[in-house]
Amino acid sequence: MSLFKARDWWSVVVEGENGQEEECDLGCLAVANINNETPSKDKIIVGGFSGSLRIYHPQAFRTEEGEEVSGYRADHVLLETTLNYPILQLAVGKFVSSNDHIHLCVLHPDRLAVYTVTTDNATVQKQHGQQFRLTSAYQHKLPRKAYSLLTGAFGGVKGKDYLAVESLDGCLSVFEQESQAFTTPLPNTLLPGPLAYFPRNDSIVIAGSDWCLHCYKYQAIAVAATDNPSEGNSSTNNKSSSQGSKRLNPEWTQLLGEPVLDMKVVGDGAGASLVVLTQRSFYCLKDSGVFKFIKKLEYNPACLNAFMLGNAVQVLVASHTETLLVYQETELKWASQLPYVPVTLTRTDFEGIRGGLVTLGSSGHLQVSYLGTDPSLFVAPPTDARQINYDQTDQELAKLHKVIKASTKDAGTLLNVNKSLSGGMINENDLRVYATVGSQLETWTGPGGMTGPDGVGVPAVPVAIRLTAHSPLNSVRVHISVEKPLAVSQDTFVLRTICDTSQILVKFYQHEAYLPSSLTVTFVTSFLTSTGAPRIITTNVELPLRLVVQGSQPSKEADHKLTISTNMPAVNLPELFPELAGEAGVATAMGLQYFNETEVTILSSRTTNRYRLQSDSLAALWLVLKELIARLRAYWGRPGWRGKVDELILGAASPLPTNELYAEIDAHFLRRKKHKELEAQLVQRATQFRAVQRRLLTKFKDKTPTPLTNLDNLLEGTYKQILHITDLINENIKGLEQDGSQLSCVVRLVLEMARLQTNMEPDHYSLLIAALSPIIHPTMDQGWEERTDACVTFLLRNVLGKNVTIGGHAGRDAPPPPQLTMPHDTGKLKKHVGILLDKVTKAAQQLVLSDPPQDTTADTREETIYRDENDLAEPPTPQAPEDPTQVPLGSRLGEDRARSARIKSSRLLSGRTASTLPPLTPSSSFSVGEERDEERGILTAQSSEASQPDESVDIEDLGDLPSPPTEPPDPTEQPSTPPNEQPNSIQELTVTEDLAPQEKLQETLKILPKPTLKKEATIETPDDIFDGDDGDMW
Amino acid sequence: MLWEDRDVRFDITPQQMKMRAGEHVIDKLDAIEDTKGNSGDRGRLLISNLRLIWHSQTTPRVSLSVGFNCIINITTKTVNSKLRGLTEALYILTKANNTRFEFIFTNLVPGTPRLFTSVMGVYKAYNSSKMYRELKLRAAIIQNKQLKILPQEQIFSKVNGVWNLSSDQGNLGTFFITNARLVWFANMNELFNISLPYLQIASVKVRESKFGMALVVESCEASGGYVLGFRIDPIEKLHQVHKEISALYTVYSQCPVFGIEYVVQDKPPTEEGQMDQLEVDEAEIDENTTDTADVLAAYLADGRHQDREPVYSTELGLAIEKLKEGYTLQTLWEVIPS
Repeated sequence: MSLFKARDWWSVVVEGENGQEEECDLGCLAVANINNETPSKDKIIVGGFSGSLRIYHPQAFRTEEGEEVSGYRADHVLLETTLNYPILQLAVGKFVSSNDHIHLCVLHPDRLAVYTVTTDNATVQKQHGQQFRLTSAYQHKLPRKAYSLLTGAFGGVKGKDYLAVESLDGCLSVFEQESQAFTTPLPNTLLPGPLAYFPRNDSIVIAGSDWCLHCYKYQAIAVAATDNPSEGNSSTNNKSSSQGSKRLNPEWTQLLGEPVLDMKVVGDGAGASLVVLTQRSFYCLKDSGVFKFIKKLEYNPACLNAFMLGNAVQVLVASHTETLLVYQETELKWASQLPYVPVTLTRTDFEGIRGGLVTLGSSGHLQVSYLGTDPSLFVAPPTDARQINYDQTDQELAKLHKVIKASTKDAGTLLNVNKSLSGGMINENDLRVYATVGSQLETWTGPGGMTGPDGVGVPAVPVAIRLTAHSPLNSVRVHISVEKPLAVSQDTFVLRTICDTSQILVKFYQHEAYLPSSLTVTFVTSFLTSTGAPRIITTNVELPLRLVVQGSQPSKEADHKLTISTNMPAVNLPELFPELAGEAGVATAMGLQYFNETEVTILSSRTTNRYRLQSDSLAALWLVLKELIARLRAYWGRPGWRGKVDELILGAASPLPTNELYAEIDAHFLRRKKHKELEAQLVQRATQFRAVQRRLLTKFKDKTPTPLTNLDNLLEGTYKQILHITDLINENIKGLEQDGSQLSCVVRLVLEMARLQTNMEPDHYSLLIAALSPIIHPTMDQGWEERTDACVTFLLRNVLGKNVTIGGHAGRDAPPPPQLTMPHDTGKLKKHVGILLDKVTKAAQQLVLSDPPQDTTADTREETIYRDENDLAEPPTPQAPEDPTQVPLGSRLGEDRARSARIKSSRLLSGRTASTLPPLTPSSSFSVGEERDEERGILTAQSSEASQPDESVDIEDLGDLPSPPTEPPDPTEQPSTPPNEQPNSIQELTVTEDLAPQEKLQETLKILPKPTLKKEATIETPDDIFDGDDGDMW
Repeated sequence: MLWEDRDVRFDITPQQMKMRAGEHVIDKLDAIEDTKGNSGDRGRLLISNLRLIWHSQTTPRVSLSVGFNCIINITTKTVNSKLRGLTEALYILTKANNTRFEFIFTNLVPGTPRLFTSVMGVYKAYNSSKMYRELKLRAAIIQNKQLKILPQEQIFSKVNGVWNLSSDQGNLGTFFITNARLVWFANMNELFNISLPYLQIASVKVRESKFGMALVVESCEASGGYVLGFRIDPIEKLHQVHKEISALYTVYSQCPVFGIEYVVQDKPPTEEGQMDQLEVDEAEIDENTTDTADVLAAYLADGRHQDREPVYSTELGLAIEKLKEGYTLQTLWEVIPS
């Protein structure tokens, strides 16, 4: 693109009939002194496909002030008329035999007309008083449809111009002015191409459809034609005779290899040369067919003009990029932008301009222009001088400073920028995503919904996602991820543009009949900012509990029970769950039922400030627990509400249900194992199937038919087996999903309980949750078990096992991390999880990832020492569940002394696993068991701390939370609270008053354990639970 | 004086924003950004049969009036709009008083091509109806001694025996007096004719000439300032024709037939042409135009006002713009990496 632009000197838009747009092409422009006035002044003649013909005489005029002004004026039109046929080409020349004036020849598709243009009263001074006439001199009807017209003094005639019309089928008809001379087919012409005439050697150059230039002597063409008189002398279209015409031999042929767009002969005499424009280059040839120069073009040319400037050929090429390029021979001299792509261009002089450039556009734009010499450089647009709000600009400046600071701080990588800005204003400025959960549930009517226990459809909840963009954004994608068994009506949306606000409406419903593990829905919105940086916004929304449960009758008995203690008086359950309370509206008991008919009962006890959840399925407790906690927090979280000032503290009064967790892990693992087995079976059956197929095929191919020997039955049987196995696999996958969901529920439950028990910091909790992930994907290659094992191991080793080296194994290399392959069984995992949970809850270890090593000055307290020993005892445990019957692998290779020494110890330790393992089980077993036992256990543990250290810690942790010490539990009351709880609710306020001292006590309790815990953490960190692993490695 | 379609004006007064007689709003688009000069500002675009009016919705004083006659070219371009980001916008190149201005309008409502279709459609309709508004000489308007009438045109009278006095010997011809224009053509040569819309007439008089009493019609300066003399015999007929033309001239120069016909295809039904809203803030408009230069600058197509005159370049063999002092074609060309 050139910096220079063509300057408009004079322009007009040529119109067709009734002001319609005119269509023009290559031949529609001619410049000549067509009315033969003296002194000679050039006029522009323009024709169009609608048949309109106009003659313009552009000129500058002087205003009264003597200023020369250019531009179109009404009197520049000399003549305007409409011919009845489309004008294909215009030509000017001495076409009339009676005089040597210049005449206008118009080529229509089926005729050739020559007109005389005359001025009636040329002497009239006033331009607008002159009148012009267009009189027809003669016409030729053309037998073939015309394509183009060539004029020239063919045959070397003096003072005359002859006409040659090329037809669409490649015939050349020559008219010697008023009389037709001959018609001859041109060789090598499939499609007609441009023509040119060299006056000096009287030859016609034809651009053939073989992409060659062919030069024929006019004489030769004439002779070839007159040899076939029937063709030449009559205008009858006798094609057959043309077949027998004498072969026309070209003077010279030049291969171009490209279709020719246009060609022109410039110069005269010996210096005449032919300029040819092709699609990719322009060529200059002498009349002998020798190339003078070739210029390859890097653009798509539209049209060409050439003229001699001194001895050099000046070539003007207009491109489809609206640029005019001026070449002197092959050197680019100038380039200029044009206002449109011209179909033809020429150069001429008018009054007021010499060397003006005349261009005609395809839609009738006619312009006389000159080349601008002021480069149009980019000029920064002037700043908006209107009403500057200084406060606003200051704010904006501050904002921008912040952005700049933020982005320079972290080296500007895309991710970092994203991170540093995601919470900040960029995101706010770009896109906001809000999701609103509808309050009204409706019955899901779409496909795929399951039916509830009472036969009606499951409810669906509508969620509206609102995207608000401050600046327009393109291609915003919203993905909705929801965990099974819930499903969403549509999970991907692509919004082409967001201008203000767009809203997406989706519905969530339960799809499968098993227990959901989470009601969280994630909306991931990805988009490109206006600066092109990719951004992702994640929005989480909790779906209402009502989506998966409904109210039911509370049941008294259940297998699993969980107790949550609070420091606040128990709240009326209908108050907490107003939407579910309708059917079972007792203040202290409430029943919930999942759609797979699992029931959960919530009980609350006024006197103990506890809540109990019970159900036959532990997994079912999770969602309800979560909801309960969330609602309790919300209930008490309102400041100044209900006269309470201090924070709500929740605690878990039940021990962790580790055994159930193990059971779920096993169930899930079993599914995976079964899947593996089924897959192996499938492989085997498929192999068998192929083998049978192969056999059968060879049998069928055999020329001599042999009996099939029941192979066909075998094939069918195998096929059925394969189908059966795939069905089983499908079923198993469903079961896997279900078990995964259950496992997820239980893991979440365990995690939540652990949090409640230890009052964990949020970041510690997130670390824990990352290791013991509740997200269970039903993938086969890398399952939850090995992943979790690896994570937990890592956590134990690197976060909780800080003083491994102090434990006396400093010289040992760290054991390699566990492989991420499916383990043989879950014993190791269970053990690791157990240790982790143990450490986290009972030992209240701080889960700090990047803490500096803590001071390890020995603590002399008996308890800690004991624990240390206990920990020492633990290391070899991994072996025991792995393969209890087997002697450790290492012992078989007893040749190494060092090794055998280690084996010895590991054996010794493995022997002790039996005794070390149990501590986990009893504690968990009574967590499931009767609460009374539990409480009693706690009490006894308290009294005999030294003898039962594990449990004592347990109690300490519990005591850390608002819990029993001051207030003996009333175990009998809890299960059967509902009826006699009524009076208590009235006393609620007074009770809260009474609580004050108790709270104080709790607070002290809260503070107390901390220091001791800290110490424990520093010292009793496991030295090496992994030594056992090492033993394995051997 | 008709300026609406022949000028580009900035920050126009409410009076100027009002539709003149014969002008009417064809389409109104409410969320259009003037991307070139007022980027980031939501505004309203009114498309009348003569011009485009854009005004900001936050500060109504900020406005543009672009006459269709000034438009050189309308295309679409991909621009980066403050309000819509990368989008297709309407690009209009205009020339008024030898100064080129560019305008870029972006429709803030995505997915509707109405901005393009309406503006281009009206512009096309404007262009194809120039006969109603432009003086034409020697045009193809007569066929078989009959005037090819325009769609909205009515012939009021036809007067035979009218001598055109623009040449010495005079030319006998015929008048067609219509509701849009005065047409004369020579009986002997249909190609010799004049089509003079009332819009372009400066005065109609009867006065003495060297051919005796004559009807003298002057065209206005913008259309060339031609003085056309006609003689009609007898003198009573001359006066009668003069009276008729004068009457029609007074009527139709006040309320001209502009001849632009365009029907908006997909216009929402709620629209109603309410221009009155704008008049409310008439009071606070101050007439001082000191900052118009700044306003102009935002729209200049090349960042520059006027072209210099053409001179012949012997190096190129073509007309070029006269070079600035101290420059040669060579020095100018060589700064550009080729």
